[in-house]
Amino acid sequence: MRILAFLRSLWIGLAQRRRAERSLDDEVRAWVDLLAAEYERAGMAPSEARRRALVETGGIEQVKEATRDARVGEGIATVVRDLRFALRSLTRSPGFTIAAVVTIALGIGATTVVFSAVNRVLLHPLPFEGGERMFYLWLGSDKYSFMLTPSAPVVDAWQRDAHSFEALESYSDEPLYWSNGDDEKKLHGVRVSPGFLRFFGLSPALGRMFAPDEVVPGGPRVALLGYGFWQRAVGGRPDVVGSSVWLRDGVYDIIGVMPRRVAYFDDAEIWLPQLAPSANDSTVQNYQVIGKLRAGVTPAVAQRELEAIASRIPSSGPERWRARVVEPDYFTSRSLKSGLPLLLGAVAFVLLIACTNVALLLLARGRVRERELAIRLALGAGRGRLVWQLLLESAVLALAGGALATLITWWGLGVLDGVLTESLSALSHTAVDLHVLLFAVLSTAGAALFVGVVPAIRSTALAPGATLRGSAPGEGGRHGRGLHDLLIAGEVMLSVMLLVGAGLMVRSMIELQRADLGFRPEGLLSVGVSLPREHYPTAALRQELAGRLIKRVRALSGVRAATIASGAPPDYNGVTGFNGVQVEGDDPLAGGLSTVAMNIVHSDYFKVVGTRMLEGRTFAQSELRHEQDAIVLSKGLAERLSPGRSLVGRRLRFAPQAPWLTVVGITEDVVAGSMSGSTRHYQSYSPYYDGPATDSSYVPRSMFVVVRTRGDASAMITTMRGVVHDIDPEIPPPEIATAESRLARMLTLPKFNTVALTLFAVLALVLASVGLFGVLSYTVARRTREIGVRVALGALDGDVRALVVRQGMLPALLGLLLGSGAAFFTTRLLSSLLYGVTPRDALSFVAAAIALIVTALAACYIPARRATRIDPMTALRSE
Amino acid sequence: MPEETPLLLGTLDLLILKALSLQPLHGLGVSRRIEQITKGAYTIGPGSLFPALHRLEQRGWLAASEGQSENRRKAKYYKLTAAGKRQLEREAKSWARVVDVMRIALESS
Repeated sequence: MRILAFLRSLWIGLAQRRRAERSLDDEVRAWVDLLAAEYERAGMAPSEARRRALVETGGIEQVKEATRDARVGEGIATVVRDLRFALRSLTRSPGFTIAAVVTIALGIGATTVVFSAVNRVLLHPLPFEGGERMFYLWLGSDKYSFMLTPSAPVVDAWQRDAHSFEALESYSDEPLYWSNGDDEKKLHGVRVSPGFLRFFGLSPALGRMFAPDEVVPGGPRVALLGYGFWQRAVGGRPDVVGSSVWLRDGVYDIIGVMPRRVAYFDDAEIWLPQLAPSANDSTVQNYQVIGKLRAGVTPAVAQRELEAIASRIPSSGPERWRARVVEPDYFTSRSLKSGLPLLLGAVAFVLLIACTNVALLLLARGRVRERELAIRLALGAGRGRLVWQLLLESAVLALAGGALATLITWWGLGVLDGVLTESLSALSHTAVDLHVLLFAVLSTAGAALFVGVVPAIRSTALAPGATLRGSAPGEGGRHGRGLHDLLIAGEVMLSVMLLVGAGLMVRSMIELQRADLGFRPEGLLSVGVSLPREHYPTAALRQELAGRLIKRVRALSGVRAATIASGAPPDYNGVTGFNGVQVEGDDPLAGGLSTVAMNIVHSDYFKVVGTRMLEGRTFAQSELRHEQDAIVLSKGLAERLSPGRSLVGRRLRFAPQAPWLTVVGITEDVVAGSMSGSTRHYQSYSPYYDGPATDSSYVPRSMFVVVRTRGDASAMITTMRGVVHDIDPEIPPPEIATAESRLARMLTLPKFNTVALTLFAVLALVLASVGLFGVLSYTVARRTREIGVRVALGALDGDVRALVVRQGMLPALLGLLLGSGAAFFTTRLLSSLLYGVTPRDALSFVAAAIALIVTALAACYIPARRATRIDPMTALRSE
Repeated sequence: MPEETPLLLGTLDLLILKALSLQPLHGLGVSRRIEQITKGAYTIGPGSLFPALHRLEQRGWLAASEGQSENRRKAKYYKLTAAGKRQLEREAKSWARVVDVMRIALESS
């Protein structure tokens, strides 16, 4: 019964408001009438009775208000009414509303996009169930600083015996060759252990994963298709399961299709099982091992267990390799890891400035509505109620801004994806996940509060009497000015910090592009050829092929010169670290060497690549016939090994047991690998063996044909492919790339960071100057009377202009000072991203200051002009 | 001059229910009746009475209807419902118990 009555009251309260209102009105008036009637009966005159009755009742409106509040559903009705009122008041000033909404949207949108990226790269190394427990397993050594992937027997033992891990899976990349009629198409293949999908909580889109008997070598040949490949090659037909695919080494039955999004290798085309190794196969395989720790087990404990297990396996070389449990983002480039948080900071500044501008807008609007608010206060509206209503308005603005921001976020994420997938190892697209959504909602709410609170409190802190009498507006100006100026100074400070940062990045970018590469990239092409083991089992055969290949290439008309090497710049192959390097006659090098690129080259390599020989000479013919006796070093490496003294003619060895090598030449430093920061990459060059090949000669199976072309290098790519195919169709299609495209790729991330930061800095500057402009115009409008008086008293145009400009530049200069100071201390954070520029580079600071002053002056220009146009007569008459 | 007796929270509702136990009354009537049954101790103004009346009506203890007042004007009359009667009995009983307990407690030494 109670509930029914409750609901009925709710219904009446919400749906039949008007009737309820009228009824209430009638009721209270009836009270007054009856009271008056009582007094009349007691002998009072009718008018006197009525007066007494009214006085005794108190205010009719107050009584009604008190009763209304007791009504159920009143709360909701009030909010609805307030909302409608807020919307109406906002739509009445469309210019303001649009400006505010767009500003907030830009701020929130930009911030959310950058936050998504940071979230992706840093906070969530692997976005899967239990992702924080997933680690890579490598082998490391005390002697070398690089790490190796574990060999198959070790992986096997780990999978069997490691209790610290809930699951341990492995995967490796492999090019596979699909026989498609006459053609052979190279496909991106992946080999995985059977539990791979289960590890990530995924399951095949179609069919099933590998069964235990399929991972045994010699067992049935099965494969799964990649999702994209399945769509493209057979149009997504479900009956593909059960059909077969012809790969180079036989027919494979298709047992399923991978899901659309896999952890890695979204674009892998064929998935094969990782075959269990034979017990004696202890060569280092290329398997990446990933493990999921059991809950509660720390990486350190797991590492110890893995080491214990691995130590029971006899190792192949003299080296002791120990297990290392490594975090997945270990390999994410430093540029990305330090760049993104900085961008987040920058974009947060932009958001702050945007919100401050909107707050200023609201403050100004508050002034305009002073009269209205004063009346409402005088009528008895609670101050809390008014503040609430004003906050509601800002909330509506923020909400609209947030909604618009989602569009901006969508677009921004698309742009970001392009850049990030290049730089992140095989992880797939940045999606809007829960954290990001939460972030967007919180920042919207934060914006609403930040933007609305101060204006709301300000605007209602009125003495209604003074305002209504009309004398307040002028005086109110001085009080508000302090706050306005402070806010503007704050905006300017943030902008200056961003400008300095952007300036540093731009200079760094220029230095990067001007940097001496150490080789000539124009027209440089590298053709990576890998000779299949079955057809080239001996060194002699490999040597013979290399000879034929290079002759063919040199004979091409578009080729100026060519050579064979283990790699070409700017790629960074064959990196090793050493701990026992020693120059003959000196002590072993303290601290060891962390990264040395070991290149194997012919004597004409330096000429082809364009690397200058600074001292000594390249290899002589005789040295090409004796393996590994001679060596050429890069300048940086030579300096490190023997500072001040020339190394040419002296001998060195890389490890205590290694053979002595004679240094015959020193080349200039070559840029390779990545270009950020100040890492110096040491290069060493060993001679390519050119003598008669015996079984023990070292002639590598994979090699690069380094070509200097006459014209555009990219035009020769198909020709090169053709040459390799002609020489021997059994050789898989080579990996061909131009030095220029590789360089461009290396620059992608630094370029992105620079462009983004500059964009944010410019945005911040524009927003801050718009804010300054707005505040100044507003101030001029408010001080119209005062300016009119001054002009009437003899002030010239110049004086008036000076007055306005001074008013505007004061907070700007204060902001400049604060911003420069803050930047002085915080640009240190950028140092890992800078190249060739110090964080306290004077030029950047000065440039930022100039940009700011010029923009601020520009912002002051129009208000100053407007001020000079004030006619004292009209000014004094108005108000 | 009679001492000021403060109105404890919740007692207003009980007084209203009691006031309406004999016959339906309009707002002013309820106020006068309360004055009467408390022997002049409590005079309830419209600012407190109307919210309470509406609240009790929402909870289903009172029912409202249109009626004609003494001076031939329309007025809203409140009547006790069956549930309201039961509530009045319940509250009156528990109130008596509370009074007994408090008296014993406060008079003990």
